[in-house]
Amino acid sequence: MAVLELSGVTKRFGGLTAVSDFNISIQEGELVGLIGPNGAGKTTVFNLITGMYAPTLGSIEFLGERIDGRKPYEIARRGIARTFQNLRLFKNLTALQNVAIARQLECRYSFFDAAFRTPVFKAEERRVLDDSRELLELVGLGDKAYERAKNLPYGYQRKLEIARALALNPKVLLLDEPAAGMNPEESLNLMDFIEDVQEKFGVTIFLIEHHMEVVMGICDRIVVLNFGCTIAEGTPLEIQEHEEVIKAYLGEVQNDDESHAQG
Amino acid sequence: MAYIQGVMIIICVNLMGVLGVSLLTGFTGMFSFGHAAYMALGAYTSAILVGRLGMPFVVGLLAAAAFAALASVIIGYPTVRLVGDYFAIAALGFGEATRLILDNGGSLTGGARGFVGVPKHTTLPIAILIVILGAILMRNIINSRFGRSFVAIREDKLAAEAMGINTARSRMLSLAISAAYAGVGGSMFAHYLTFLQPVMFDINKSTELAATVVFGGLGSMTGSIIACIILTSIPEIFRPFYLWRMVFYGLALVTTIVLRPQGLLGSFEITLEGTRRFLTAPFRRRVSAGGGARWQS
Repeated sequence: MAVLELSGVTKRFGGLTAVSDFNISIQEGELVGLIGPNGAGKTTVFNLITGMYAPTLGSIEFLGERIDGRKPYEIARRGIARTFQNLRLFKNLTALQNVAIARQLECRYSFFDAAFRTPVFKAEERRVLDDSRELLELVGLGDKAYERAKNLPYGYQRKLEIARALALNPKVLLLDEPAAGMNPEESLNLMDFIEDVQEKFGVTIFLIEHHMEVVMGICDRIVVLNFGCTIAEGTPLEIQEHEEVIKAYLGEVQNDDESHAQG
Repeated sequence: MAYIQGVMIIICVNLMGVLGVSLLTGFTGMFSFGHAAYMALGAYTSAILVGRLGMPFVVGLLAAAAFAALASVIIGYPTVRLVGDYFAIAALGFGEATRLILDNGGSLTGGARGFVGVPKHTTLPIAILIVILGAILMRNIINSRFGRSFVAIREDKLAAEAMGINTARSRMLSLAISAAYAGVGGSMFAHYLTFLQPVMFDINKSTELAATVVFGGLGSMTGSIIACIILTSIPEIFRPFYLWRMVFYGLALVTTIVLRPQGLLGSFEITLEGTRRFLTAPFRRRVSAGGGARWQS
């Protein structure tokens, strides 16, 4: 069964169609890439899946249940976690607190327990913090637990954001340009990191990326968007050969004036 | 002596309001210029229950907290979704509206002439006890999943939502707790002064609470407490200078804004553990300088 299934998803902002008739079915354990020139609607797809926007048309199903129109926090609780293109960490909090905030979803102590520090509270808090520390350890940020997020080097901040998303114990992880702002070497490291994460946590990953070496290197399957429309779908090899894709990225050879040559 | 005791009781009253505003503004990132209204609701609730209906003081205190929290939920339901300044403006409007309602409350509130004959119950030991209890409970709340959610919302509301936090509900909870604290402060105030007037809870009082929190440092409960003690004492210490005393109050605020925009303590907290470390640090250093065993730092 598909973990995540989008059928005929369309999002219009006034007269602008950001995403048009988008379809995808992601199976458990897959690592799917979403690529396309700037402004193609990639982040909009993520915002639709995570409930930041409601689709104008179409349906989004997670594990067979409709989730479109649900609030972002409900979708996160069901098991879809995400990172953001421009890093949205809790900047003034420590790495540990960042992870604990996501991790604490599973604790169920009451307000009364918290106010009077009952044994239930203490046990659950210890578990949350231990789990969070362990998670930081797993992603290689163990010694940075007490550093404020904003003081971490950029690459570590990217990792921390992924760790925070993993703390939700998600079934699907959406990564919005995890290699943004990284040099080729760092991108390759990140590639290994993402593969490692998938192996250790057994999550299904859907990622947006501009660095072709990252996408081509790790994705099982790639979807290409241009101006809100899906122009190709297939294995990395198929995509590299695909005429439409080459056109979208490099522009048309014969007709330079009308080309959409972008990034 | 009675005078100093009086000042200390007023500090305790203000502390309850400031603890509440500190949670809302410093930890949840919501500015409110209407918190005097929750103090007023607490004060009048308690005055009516204890003064008119003869209930015990404890009931008055608890009812003050409950009624202020209830009012905040009614006001909060449509307004917590408002972002930034809009929430502050809504809170300000609510504050002034409450004062005007109390002004026109007829025989129930005594109107603008005031509410006379509230029994005197707030003694200094009781006031200090309530504040200490309030501060401990507040610390516990902040160091729990609830407090972490509040801080997450302050840092980045969208990311908090994406991490499974129901931000509207968390903001409402923070508002309700802060209103309850202000309500208890109001009740203590009523049973200290034995006389209430709506004008005591005007926008100046709300601004004073908000200014105290900013002065102490947003995101620092201990900073708020120290700021409240300083800012409540200053006008009293300079009372001999009569007309000039508010100038000193303003001077203290402006100096802080210029020299320490992050407030007295910034987001730093003074904790028992931290104090112990600070006090024992010189000894540890001496030991390790002596070439002996290295102690955990």
